[in-house]
Amino acid sequence: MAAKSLTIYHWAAFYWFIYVFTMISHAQNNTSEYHKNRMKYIFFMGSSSSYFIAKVLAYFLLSLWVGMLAFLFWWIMGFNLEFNSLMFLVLLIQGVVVSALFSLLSFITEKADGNFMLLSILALPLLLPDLLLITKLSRYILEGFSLTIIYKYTMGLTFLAIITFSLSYLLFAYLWRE
Amino acid sequence: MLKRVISCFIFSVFFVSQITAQEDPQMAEALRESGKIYVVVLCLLIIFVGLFSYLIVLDRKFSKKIKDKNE
Amino acid sequence: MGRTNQLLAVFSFGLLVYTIYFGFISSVPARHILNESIRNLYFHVPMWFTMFVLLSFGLYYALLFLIKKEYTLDAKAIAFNETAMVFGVLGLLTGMLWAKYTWGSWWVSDPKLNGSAITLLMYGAYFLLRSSIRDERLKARLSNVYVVFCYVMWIVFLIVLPRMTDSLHPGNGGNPGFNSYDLDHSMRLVFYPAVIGWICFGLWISNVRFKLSQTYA
Repeated sequence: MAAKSLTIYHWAAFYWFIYVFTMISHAQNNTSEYHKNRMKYIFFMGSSSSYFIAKVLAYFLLSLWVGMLAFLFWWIMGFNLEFNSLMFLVLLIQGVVVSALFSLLSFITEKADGNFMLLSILALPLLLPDLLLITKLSRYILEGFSLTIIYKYTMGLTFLAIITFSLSYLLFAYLWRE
Repeated sequence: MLKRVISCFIFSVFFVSQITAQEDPQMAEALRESGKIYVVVLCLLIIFVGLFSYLIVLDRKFSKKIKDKNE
Repeated sequence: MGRTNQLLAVFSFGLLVYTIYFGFISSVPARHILNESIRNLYFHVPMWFTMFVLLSFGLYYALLFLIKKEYTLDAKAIAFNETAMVFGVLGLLTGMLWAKYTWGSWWVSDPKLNGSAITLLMYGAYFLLRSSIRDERLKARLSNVYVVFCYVMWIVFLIVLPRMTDSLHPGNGGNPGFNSYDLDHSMRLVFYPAVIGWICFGLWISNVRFKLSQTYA
């Protein structure tokens, strides 16, 4: 009975929540590995923007990998809808949002010497608008809604990605040591 | 014995839920009187209580700071 | 500074007395379901306007701090943000009460409601970040960066996203705005002073909060 009541909407929500929580735990592991001396070296060698871009790239690749893993989980659990090219496009745009956000926030938690939970506390409220939007969007894609609606939501997501990326790029310079 | 008690409990819950389902859904009549004006009064009360408690919190916070400073 | 602050207090006091008196006395259009609770417009809606204005001031001082690195600016930012959160919580509580007696439940899944709840979560995370750092300079730098991000995400959530979906609130989706039928002339005469009065009140309280932190910290 429970299996029948799971709609495509639930599957989409599952997918993105698995994705986001896996990303958070990866980012947490990353921040705890950083050593103070290593940071000093990075401060000495590089500029803030190059460090930021490198970090975003690393997180972006990680996000694609995690997205694929979450899809694998989906597939094993028996949700048999094909993962079409539109979903992949959404995964790419979502990767930009998440990687830009985590690059900024993991740097903040690193500097704050915060405990284990601080990153998820900081990240989750900021990710909620994005999560609501993307759950709806992927549901529309999987249910085969008309392209005009999908286009509208994809534009919304792209807008969010542009804002998140440019904002964290600009703000990252202020986190850098003066 | 235990089974009977449990079944009694389940049935009573069932009946209670049926009885409440038959009730008029318009609840809390006092707040619906005179055109729901008391909803507005209660909202104003919430605002008053909220602002007052914020001032109390501020007072406590800064009293503590003054105390720490003097010690 | 002190002079304008006192003026702000007197001004908001006068406007709020006017609002509370005429908010209950003045004539309002008769509507089904809303009935007299339409008068909540004078008390519930200004809370959100005040929160918006105070958070904008908070953003302004946070940006100014990031550029100038003066620590009084950080104290200003925290004062405005904290007072804004008080108004946000009050707006949420009064809104819940109003929703119970018009829409029939304490909480409806409406983009504006969820948005305001998530705003409170974001700023809650901001206060948590502040409380978890000991070093004052580091605290100011990190939390002001975070609060700029919070503000932008909040704007996206509250203004952009509800446009894409239907909302029970007037002015969104399939719901006609207040302007088209509810907000007639006599209501405007109370509503605008109410908004201005509450905003001035919020500014005054935040200024007092800032001065306290400057004197005793």
